[in-house]
Amino acid sequence: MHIELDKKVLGGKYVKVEVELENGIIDNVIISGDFFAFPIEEFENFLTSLRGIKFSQEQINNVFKKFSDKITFSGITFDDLLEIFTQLLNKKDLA
Amino acid sequence: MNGLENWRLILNEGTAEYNMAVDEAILTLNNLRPRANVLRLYVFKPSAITIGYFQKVYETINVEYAVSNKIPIVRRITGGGAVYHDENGEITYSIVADVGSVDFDVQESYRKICSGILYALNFLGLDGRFEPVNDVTVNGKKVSGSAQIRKGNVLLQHGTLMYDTDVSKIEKLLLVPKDKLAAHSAKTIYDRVTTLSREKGSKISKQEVINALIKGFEKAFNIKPYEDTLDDEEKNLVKELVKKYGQRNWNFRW
Repeated sequence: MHIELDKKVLGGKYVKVEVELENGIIDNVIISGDFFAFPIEEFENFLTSLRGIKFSQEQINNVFKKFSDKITFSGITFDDLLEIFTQLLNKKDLA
Repeated sequence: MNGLENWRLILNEGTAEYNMAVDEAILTLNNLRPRANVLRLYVFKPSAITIGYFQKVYETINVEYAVSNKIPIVRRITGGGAVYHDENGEITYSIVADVGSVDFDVQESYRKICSGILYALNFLGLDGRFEPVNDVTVNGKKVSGSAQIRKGNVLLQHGTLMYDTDVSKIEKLLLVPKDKLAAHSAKTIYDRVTTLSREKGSKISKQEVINALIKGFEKAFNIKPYEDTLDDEEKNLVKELVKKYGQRNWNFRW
């Protein structure tokens, strides 16, 4: 199952989140856009940590909590991203 | 720190792969141990497109047009948007500096570095404005965009200054989302992007822009950089990194 959602942050940048689900587990996730984030190694670790977890608010929150101090975003915020994931969770439940 | 004696100035023309490799090499080595801050001014030869690290190529670029016109596409290590680097109309700057000599706050560091561009515009007889997050505009239209990344205590910020870019090429090459134009109350790319020559009403030369940028950054940072070339350590790392920037699995990752 593929779900995606994008957002242009007001006064900020564009971000799109794409999630591939396999039996409720995140098989793959891509976060793309013209935002800024560093260090990119931590951003890659963030994506890796999202892969293989159950697609639930609790599991997503846990990963976000782990990386919130490790990655600096510009043009978007961690809260923008979390909001998109939350909307995707709702989208999944409706599907 | 008084940086008056410390900054290096490196000027060059080269391919997109080479230019991106040099920026990454200097950032990497300056993060390994304290080294002089660097101001680079360079030209993409041949003209090329760079895309932000997080961008999807096919959602950002008209790849077919780029390929058929032999315009290379290279992914940067910095975020931000896609840029068309016109060899006859755009100068790219990059600054690699310890964060302390710029600003620890990311947004303020953009502002500080972009103040060098604003001074450069003044020297060219134009008034520019910094538009957060990362743009500089003249008469409300973009002439410069910048992108920053940090490694440890060192930042790399590189950005464009379009003095005579062929804007029609940008329109053909970059897929600008409609909502981005709408967010800037712009109907077409020509309402959103301009060049220094267009705003000045007369041709501004490459050398004039380079001289103005040097003077602009000197004023912004109170520095007097000395002209330099890459050292052997940098050259060796560049040689390795050029390979990465030439690889399809890097440039077309997404």
